[in-house]
Amino acid sequence: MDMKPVITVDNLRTYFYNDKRCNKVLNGISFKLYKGRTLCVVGESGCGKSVTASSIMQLLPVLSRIESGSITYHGDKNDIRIDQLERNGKTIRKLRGSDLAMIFQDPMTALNPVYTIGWQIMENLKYHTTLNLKERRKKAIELLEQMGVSNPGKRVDQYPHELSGGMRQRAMIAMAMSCNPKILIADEPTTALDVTIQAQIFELITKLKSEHDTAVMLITHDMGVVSELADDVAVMYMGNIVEQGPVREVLKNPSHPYTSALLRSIPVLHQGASQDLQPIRGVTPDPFDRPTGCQFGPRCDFYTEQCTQMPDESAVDATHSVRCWHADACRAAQKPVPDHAAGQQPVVQ
Amino acid sequence: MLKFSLKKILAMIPMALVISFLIYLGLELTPGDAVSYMIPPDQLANVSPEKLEAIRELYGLNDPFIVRYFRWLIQMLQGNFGFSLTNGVPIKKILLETYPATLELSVAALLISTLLGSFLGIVSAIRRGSIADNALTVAGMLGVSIPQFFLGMVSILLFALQLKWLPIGGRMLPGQTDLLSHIRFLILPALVLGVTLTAGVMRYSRSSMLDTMNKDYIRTARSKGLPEWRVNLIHGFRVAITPVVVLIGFRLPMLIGGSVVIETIFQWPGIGNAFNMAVRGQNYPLVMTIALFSVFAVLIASLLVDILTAALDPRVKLH
Amino acid sequence: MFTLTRTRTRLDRQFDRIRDLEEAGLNKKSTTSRALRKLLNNRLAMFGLAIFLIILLSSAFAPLLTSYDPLGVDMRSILKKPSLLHLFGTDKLGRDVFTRVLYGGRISIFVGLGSALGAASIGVLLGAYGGYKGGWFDKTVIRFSEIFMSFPQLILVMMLVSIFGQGLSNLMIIFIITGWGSVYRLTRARMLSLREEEYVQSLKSFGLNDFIICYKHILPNAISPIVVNITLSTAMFILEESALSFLGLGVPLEIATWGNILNASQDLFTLQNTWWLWLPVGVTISLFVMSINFVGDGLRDTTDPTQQG
Repeated sequence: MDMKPVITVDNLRTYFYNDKRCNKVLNGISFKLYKGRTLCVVGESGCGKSVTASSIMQLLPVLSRIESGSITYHGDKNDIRIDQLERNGKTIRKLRGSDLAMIFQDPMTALNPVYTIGWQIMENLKYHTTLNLKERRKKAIELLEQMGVSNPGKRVDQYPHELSGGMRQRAMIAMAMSCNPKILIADEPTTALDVTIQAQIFELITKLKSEHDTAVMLITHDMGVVSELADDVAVMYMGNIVEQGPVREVLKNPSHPYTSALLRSIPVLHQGASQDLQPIRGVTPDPFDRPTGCQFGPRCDFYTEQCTQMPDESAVDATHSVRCWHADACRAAQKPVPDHAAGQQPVVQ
Repeated sequence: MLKFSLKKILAMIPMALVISFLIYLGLELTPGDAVSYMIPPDQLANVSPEKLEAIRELYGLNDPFIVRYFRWLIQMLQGNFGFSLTNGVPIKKILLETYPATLELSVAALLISTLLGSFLGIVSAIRRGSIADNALTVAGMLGVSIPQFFLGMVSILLFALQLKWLPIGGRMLPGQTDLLSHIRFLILPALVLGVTLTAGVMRYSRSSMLDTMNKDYIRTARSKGLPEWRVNLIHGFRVAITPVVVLIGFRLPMLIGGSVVIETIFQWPGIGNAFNMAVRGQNYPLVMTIALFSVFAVLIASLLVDILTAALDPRVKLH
Repeated sequence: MFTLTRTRTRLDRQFDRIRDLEEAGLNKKSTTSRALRKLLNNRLAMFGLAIFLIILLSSAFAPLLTSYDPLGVDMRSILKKPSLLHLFGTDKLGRDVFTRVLYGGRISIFVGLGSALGAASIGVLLGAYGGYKGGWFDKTVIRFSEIFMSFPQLILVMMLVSIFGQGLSNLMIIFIITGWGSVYRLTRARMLSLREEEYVQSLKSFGLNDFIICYKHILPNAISPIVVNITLSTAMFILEESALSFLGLGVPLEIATWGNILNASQDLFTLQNTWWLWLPVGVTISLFVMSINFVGDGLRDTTDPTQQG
């Protein structure tokens, strides 16, 4: 397993400027993506997971920008500072589609309705490879087949609205993987799909990851997905990564009050109706009216005066870090956390 | 697609019939005999009252209203459009002589408006909020607010009389039947006729583009590393164009109506000019016949727009 | 602590300003109604409103602004250039053009607004009931309106004028007949979506009569696009009246309207040499219609919930 990172994000801050207000969506996050490993970024809506992805791909909306920090892509030949690149400039465009690829939440709206899916896949090949028309079409059909689309020869000439949801998502994955990207970012790829299809899609992503040694960044709000698929996990809350590390570590030893609260609020499959679920008290703050210091403060059981200052990132061990003044207290107070992995049974034979 | 078109054509027929009935009704309401204009004038000239009565019987002019309507309709379908009250010329001849000029003018105006309007609309959308965008918005407002005839007068004054770049009026000099040779005459009328449509197309293109550029598939296109021009045109405008085509379809009647005024000002020998003279000369048969055909023109144009819309958007159900 | 090293743009500077304000705690939510704020901020709409009022009031209070008689022939001052005595000069019969423009405005605006209101009344009445009830009533009226909409408007109007003759009231009736269709469709479309709302179901379950539900309860919610339509229709009718009068087929030539004034200026000589006979009138029409369009657009922006703030 290659431990050299493909992407290093260091103290990234991204601010949004809508309606003449400044929203500090990302407030200094740092993490790394590694080849052949899946990082699950998990958190509630509005915590900044999608914006992280957009920042890496330099796909931020017009009224926003990367304020400070760095995003470095460690390519084969050299390192590229993505945050310094001109939006839609030549360099980032070369990377997008061939080194960095992204799949989105709703394949119905993410695919152009007036072009066939074959055409859209071939377009990616056209701009990043030197294949001719016949070769591109052959490759497109191959890709669809690899992604598990039945009857690929016929599907390649169909329009997005003629396919089912699962097939559309497979087509989008085919498009993203067409040039063997080093990094695949998946932004809640199954939220818009049926649960049974979800499992298939995740299986597909895992298979691709191991076949191509891709670094996968999977954004989700579903802890079940995290325990099933992740190698590493980063828990986000209101623009900060509050805890990150290998998934077994973090789930066994949650060191941030938010992480443990999350784990306690989710039912585990097959553990019965008598599970003790505890919803997290309070609500997520208004982004324009944030608490000072640690954002989770008002909802935290371990809150003290010290928490009005944002905690630095401290190490729990070599690979597991947390942003909390009271990490030790949190770990000590652990009731045995339901083992989400233990309750899982294979859904699909 | 063929089935789709045929269905649309069939749906048009009842409408066309109703309109022909209304036109006939209008003919009945105007002073004078509704159908006597269908008779060649030389047959009516210098006849004695008894002979006239016989002719009337012969042509069924004393029959009940409905019967007269159907006779009239059958005559129209056979190509007999009657004779002009003013000079006895067969109306069919008048129409055949004048429609090429109007067709030329309308098509030119349509092309200019669509191309120019779309281009300006896309530019406005891409550079939203810039000075160019604001200037174009105001210009567009101006375009729909200035009366066409006034704009015509101003442009004649400026370009023809003062600057002497373009001719004052008329369609061509004798012998200039080929389009390219008399294109100087076409420029000004086509531009003025198209101003309102250009402004409308520009505004619709802009808002359609803005809507489209917010969509998810644009973000997907960018995530593939495509150049901006391709994202804007091939992914953006290609989808944004459909509502614009629908708009143009809606505004086609105005183009046809506007030609009445423009042809008058620029002495363009087309159907619009003929219509104007007919109304002023109380030449009712000609007025009604031209009105009837203008409706047909609108219906056919709408049909073409429907087909084009279906061709542009694969999501439109063809059955 | 700004580590951005790529080239800064104008947008960047704006962002810096907003960020600094935010950090100093000076960006607060405003309390005034969003709609009002948007309208006031729309400079074009305000500008339009100003021009509109200037022209409207000048025409309305014409006797206060000019002492001439719009029909007053004065053969001693034919075709005089604009001067302090005659702001827009005089025409072929010695009449003061400025006065004619002011008084003409009264008729033109009256025709435009009156026709728009008349068309709207019919359109709303029919459209509200048709959209709400559906059924044969709706189907018939829609076919009917489609027929009118297949005619190019100007040609239809001219055709009706040739059948029924000219005249001020004739013209307005013809305008109303040709114009009710668009309001009808608008109202009907709004009705179709509003009638599915829950409060309608509850009103029905209370046993309220259809007319009351339709006109008293649902219709007020559909008013805003109708108001926008009335504004824009007024502009359209003013343009149509002027075009018709220009051709000599509109309001009878004795009455001064903006279009009639232009009717006398069609020949090339007038075009070149006595520009004051037609240029000021044309500009007035353009400005007035433009101002109506600005205001109408501003209203549409304000009432349209899909537009961004």
